[in-house]
Amino acid sequence: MRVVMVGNGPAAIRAIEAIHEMGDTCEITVLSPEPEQAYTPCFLSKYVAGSIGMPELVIRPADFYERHGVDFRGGAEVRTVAAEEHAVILTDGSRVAYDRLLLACGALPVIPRTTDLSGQGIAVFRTLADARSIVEQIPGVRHAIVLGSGFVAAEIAEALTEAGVRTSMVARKTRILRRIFDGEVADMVEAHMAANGVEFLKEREFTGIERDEQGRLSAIIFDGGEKVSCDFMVLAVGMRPNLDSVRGTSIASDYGILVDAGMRTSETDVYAAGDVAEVEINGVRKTNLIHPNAVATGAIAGYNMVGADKAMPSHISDMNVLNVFGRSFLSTGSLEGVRTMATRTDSGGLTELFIGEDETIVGAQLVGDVSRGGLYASLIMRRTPVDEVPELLSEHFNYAHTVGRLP
Amino acid sequence: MREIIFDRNRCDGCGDCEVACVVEHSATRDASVALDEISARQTRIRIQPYKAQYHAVMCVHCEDAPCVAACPNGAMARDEQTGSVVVDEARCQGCFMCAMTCAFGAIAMDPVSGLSLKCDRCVDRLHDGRDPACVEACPRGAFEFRDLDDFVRGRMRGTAETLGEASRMFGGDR
Repeated sequence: MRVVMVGNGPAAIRAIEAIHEMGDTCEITVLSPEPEQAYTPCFLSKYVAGSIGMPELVIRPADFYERHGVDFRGGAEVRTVAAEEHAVILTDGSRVAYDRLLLACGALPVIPRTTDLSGQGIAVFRTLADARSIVEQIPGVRHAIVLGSGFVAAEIAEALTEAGVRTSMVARKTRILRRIFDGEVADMVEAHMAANGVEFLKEREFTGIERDEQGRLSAIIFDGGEKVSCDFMVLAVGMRPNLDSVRGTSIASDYGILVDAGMRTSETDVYAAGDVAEVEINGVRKTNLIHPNAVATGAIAGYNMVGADKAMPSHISDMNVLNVFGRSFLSTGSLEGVRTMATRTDSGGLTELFIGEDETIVGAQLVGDVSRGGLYASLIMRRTPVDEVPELLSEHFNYAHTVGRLP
Repeated sequence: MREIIFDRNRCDGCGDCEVACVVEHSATRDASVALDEISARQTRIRIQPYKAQYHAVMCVHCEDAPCVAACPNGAMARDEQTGSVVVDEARCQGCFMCAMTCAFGAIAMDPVSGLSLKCDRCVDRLHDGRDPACVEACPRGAFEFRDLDDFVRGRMRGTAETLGEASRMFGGDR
């Protein structure tokens, strides 16, 4: 049997391992537009900052593909999927036939459409090639703008600052990281980043850019005409599933490629996993662009492509940990409880639990020592009544305090 | 695969296992200086008194370990020979996505390096054919390092014998 995978990120790598766990000896072909072996996007900002290199970025040892019998084709760009012929068609016109296909083609940066953003001085930040391009462009930059105020924006703003570039982050609202933290923690992140040299331009609506006579980026323009001079800009307003290979095909998509809890698309023998997949579980559809979701969905797709019948039992809950300038900020679950319980330390640490109407723990935010994040996440998942575990916020709270008490 | 099995009915909370853990993971491995050498908070096992018993809080080296899946670059991985889940400190970036998924809260933040800190079942000792340091150090035999299936079979045999005895005692032999 021939398994073809489009993409070479964590979802595809995990799918390869799952196929091997099943003891299947099918031919696996990995088609990746990028030439490199699989690397993690999670640490690319450290690469830009110059603190790590390729050895820390790669996900698996160099012999991974060989040991798993994978034909790795770097630089292979997929134009479309011809599902009725069980083949993918590459941009060079060649065809690759499959018996099972995994679409794990990830996400693409959202590009604002207000103005033409191609050309000198403007970068996106998703791939290793993007990171290398940023590294090449930053010498001599006097003022870099990071357009966006989410997770990726915070990471690249840190990296540019660490690389010695004056950097300003642009937020549309008064608060950064709105999808990840509540106001208090968002403000803590902002204050911590500001103390480390990042500047903030908030409540600014981006409208365009200005270039000098040589065509070099010279300023960013906001709603109302405000101009801020800059000579480099990173677009980090968001990511969206990469639907390029399925557009106009019979494979159903909405925000992402639609799959069931077993990662099957609307077409027989075609699966999707990772950032690109919009998974439906018990009637709830969700795309979830986080690493644990890529790995979980990749595993299920891998097993099912070679004959298993596994399903994702529930959506992976929202969880994020942001590490900037040596400090960790974590959120998990829902931050919309009816009340909160919190402890704060002198060094700026925070442990905050969100309590739902039914008096169970529904969410948590941690600042500083985030090592109990998983423990709280498991209490959230098990809908633990808050009065079951009185030690919850104690500085010594650990797993032992939950023994025999959990529902 | 052998596992560390803890019997809380035998533990008296002396803490020798915590000390042995710190010593084993120090540079000198010399108990007379190790506690000065690195912070005692770097123990990878914690004995927690709770409800008149002592509990060992440590990594249980899950079969389908969520921390391994969560690790972005594979620095958290299973040692193939021993089955232990081990952090490669040279590649760990201290992002704590592992801790975010550990339901046991068994991954700490190393106060010195800022990296993930957890029980590695003394993987170097295992490769030398020795037992983990905590197991060897326990004066009351609260730890065993043995094959889990063996252990479970032993327990079942014990239960079966007790039940057999009870049924003879109460004349339930029908």
